[in-house]
Formats: sequence, C-alpha cells, structure tokens
Amino acid sequence: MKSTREQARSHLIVLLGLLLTLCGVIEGGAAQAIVIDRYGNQHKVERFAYQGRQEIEVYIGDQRRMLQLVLIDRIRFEGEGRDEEQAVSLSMRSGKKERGLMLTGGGAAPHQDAVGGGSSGRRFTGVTSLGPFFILVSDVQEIILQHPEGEEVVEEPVLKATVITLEGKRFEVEDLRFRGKLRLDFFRGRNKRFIPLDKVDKIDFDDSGSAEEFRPITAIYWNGRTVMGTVDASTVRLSGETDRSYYDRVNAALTGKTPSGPFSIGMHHVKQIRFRAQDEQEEDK
Amino acid sequence: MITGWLRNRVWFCACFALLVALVGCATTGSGTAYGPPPIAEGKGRLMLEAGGINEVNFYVIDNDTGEEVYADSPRSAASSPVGYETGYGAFPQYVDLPPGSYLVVVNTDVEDSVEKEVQVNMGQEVYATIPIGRFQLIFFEGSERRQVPFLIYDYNLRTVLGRGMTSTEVRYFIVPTGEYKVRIENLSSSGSDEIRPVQVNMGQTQNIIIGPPPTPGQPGEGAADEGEQ
Repeated sequence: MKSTREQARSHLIVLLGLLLTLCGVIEGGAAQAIVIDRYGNQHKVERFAYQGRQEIEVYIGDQRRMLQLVLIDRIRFEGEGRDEEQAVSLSMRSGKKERGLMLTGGGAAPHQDAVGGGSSGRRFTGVTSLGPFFILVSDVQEIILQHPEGEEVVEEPVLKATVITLEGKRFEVEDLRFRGKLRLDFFRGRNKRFIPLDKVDKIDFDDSGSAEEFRPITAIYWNGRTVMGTVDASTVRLSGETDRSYYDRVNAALTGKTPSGPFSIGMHHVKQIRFRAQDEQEEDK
Repeated sequence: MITGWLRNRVWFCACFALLVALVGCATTGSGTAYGPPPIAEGKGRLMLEAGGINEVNFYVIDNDTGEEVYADSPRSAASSPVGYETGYGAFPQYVDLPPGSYLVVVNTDVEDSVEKEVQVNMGQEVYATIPIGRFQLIFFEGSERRQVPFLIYDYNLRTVLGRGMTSTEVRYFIVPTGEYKVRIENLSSSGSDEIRPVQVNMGQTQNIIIGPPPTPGQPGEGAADEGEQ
C-alpha cells in the first residue's frame, strides 16, 4: 500500500516536472483577442495571430508598415466583406488613432499556382475553448486585443532628428522612419543587421562613395557604442520595378514630417542624421 | 518481505548491467550519436522551429547587453547568381547559450526579418517558432531552365520587398508567411512581363513555373507529329 502511494507521488513529481519543462518551451507573450465577425458573433481567442505572425501588414499614408499586435488595442474593418482591400481604423494602446488600408482578400481569386487555392490565405488564427480557430480577414468586423493586466503599455517612439544632406541643407524632421520602420537596415559584410533608431545619437554617411550602390555608415549609440557597416543607396533601376516603386525606393528611403509638410529623402543624398534624445523631446512638450 | 525487496534489487541491478552492456555494444566507435549532442554544461539550448526549413540565416542578440552573441549565415543572398541548394540540414539549427533573455532574428530573402524573444534556461531546450515558408521560381526558356532576375513585391505591387535570381538548380527563396507577388520583366521569349502571386504558408513549399515546362517524350511523338498539328 505504502509503495503504491510512493509510486503515485513519484509519478506526480515526474508529471509536474514535465509540465514545468513544457511551460518553459511554450512562448510567452502570445496575444489574446475578442474577434467580432460580420454577423456579430464574438469569439474569445487565445494565441491570436495573423498568418502565424504577431504583426499585421497595414498601409498608413500609402506606406507599408508592419504593426506589432502588442502595440494595438482595437482594429475595426470599415469596408465590405467582398472588398479586396479595406479601410481599417486602428486604436493604439498609447491612445493614438491611425487609419490605413489592409488587404483583406475578399473576392480575390488566387492564381492557379497558389497552393491550396480556392480561398485567400489571409486569416487570423488562434485557439478558443472549443478548439482551434481561424477566420478569414474578410469575415472580421472588429478585433479587440486583450493584453495582460499590469503590462507596461508599449508604444512606438516618435523620433525627431536633424537630417543634413550632402549639399549642406538641414531639415528638422519629426516621426523619422526608414522605409516605414523605426530601424535602419544595414549590411555588415554580406550579413544584414539593423540599428534601432531610437537608441542612436547620430549616423554619419561616408560621402566619398555617394555614387556607389552601398554607402559606408557609422552609427553612434546613446550609450557610446559604435556600429559600422554599409547601407543600400543604389539609384540603379531594377528590372521589373515600376515608376512608383523605383521612386519610393530611391527617393523616399527616409520619410517623416517637417513643419512645412511631408518629408522624404534618398539614402544617396544624406550626409548625417542627428537624433534628439527622448528627454529633450519630452522637455519640448 | 526483505527477501522480496532483495530479489527486486538484484533484478534491477541485473537489468541495469544488461542495458549498459547493450549500449556499449551499440556504439560504433565514431563517438557521435544520432541527433544533436548534449547541451553544453551551464548552458541552455535554443532551437529554431521553422516548419522544416533547417537552413536559415539568423543571429542572436543578448537583450541585457544589446550585443550579438551568435550568428549563422549558411545561405547566400537571394540575388546571388551562384546560389542554389547544396545540401540539407538533418536537424533544426540550434545554439547553446548561457541562461538569459535573447532576441532571435531570422533574415529572410525580403526586407522583413522575423524576430522572437526567448528565455533560455540552464539545461533546457527552448524552441523559437519562426513563421516562414519558401517558394521556388522555375523559369523555362524553350526546354531549358534559365537564370533570370526577378523582384519580390508585396501583394498589391506597391513596395519592392526583395530581389532574387532563378537558378538552373533547385533553389528556394525564404520569406515570412504571407502573400506576395513576383515579377519578371521583359521576357526574352515574348517581351512581356510576368507577374505571379505567391502564397507562403509555414512549412509549405510552392513551386512557380514560368514558361513551357519540358514534357516527357511519348512513344510516337516527334517532329513529324508536331508538323501535322
């Protein structure tokens, strides 16, 4: 009798150990959401994801952005279910409101080559109490994301910087982004890396090779760290590039806002970018 | 009672000795066992779960220091004319790291990389699920495969996300899960453009064939038959 009890206890310990190991394996931070479909049904979804990713692809001000779900509070789809592209209103956790466009795929016929053809691949996935869950984006009316209580509200910083061109012109730019992102992609050798722009004091561009496809850069972080590499500054038109995509790639690598209106500049024109510290920005406010 | 306990102990010891002997016999002498080696002492193991894609370019950043602590780049650039699949990893890529919080960044063949925050614990394996898939673009001119440059766009052709080069060998392009379009301009055979959608799901491979693929020869087929048509 005693040995049976001991065996049961040892089994319990083994099970607990396994559970703890599994908890270590399961990734934390997976989002929860309430999904409201076009019929008004609400679904409480755990491990919520868009095409398996924790980010959505949105066009804000005609610029492609990958928005992390952790930044978003609500997404409301304002178009018809059959629209291939719908207007969306985004309520960010920081309180900011954004409007954009999102490809929802309604009525889109996939090409014959598309594997699993017959339906759009754009879908939200997750798990409900009834089991695995997925819904086509075109069938969704609203998504209310639920973040853990007490979690620090994550928000995108609004970067202010002075952009100095090779001709010596200076531009005071707000909400500076590199191709819609708050990071600068660069190459170290043939390996792609990134510099988070909110952690950088200044970036110097080597002017000796301004006509080259790749320009050497030196970025100095706020903590004194120095990173060197090259950035793609090619002005060569690629085979298959449309006029618009060529213009955006070459002349609108860096975008932002100035007091006189929207700002954009190509990588081949920049000499230096000086960022303003977050505390300086707060003082300005 | 004591006799039974002793008998159990004796049986247990005998079984253990037999097991040890069998394991010793099974060793081939090379010293390498099947599967990844044990986790290094004092470290934990980070494994990439990329839907069966066992060869990606990735690096790991220590969240505490911001320093890159590991990098592995086995794949050549998508636009490289000499790139093709030369082999295939039997196991997912992994790295043994000291316990701590890390950011894993997987570079793909488009400008979007995939990132995951992971917590590595001592002596444990942690799996980072990387939502990526792959496609192959096969371009035929006549009956032969050709190398041609192409662009990878977002689905509505607004933004160029990457560029690639087809190969006469097997060559996959790795992208985050989602929908894209590929475009080849000014085909030499027709002078037209070719735009094809690509739907990439995790763990799936899509083959896109442009141009007439060579058909296997059938008995009785030949130049005379073609002339009659």
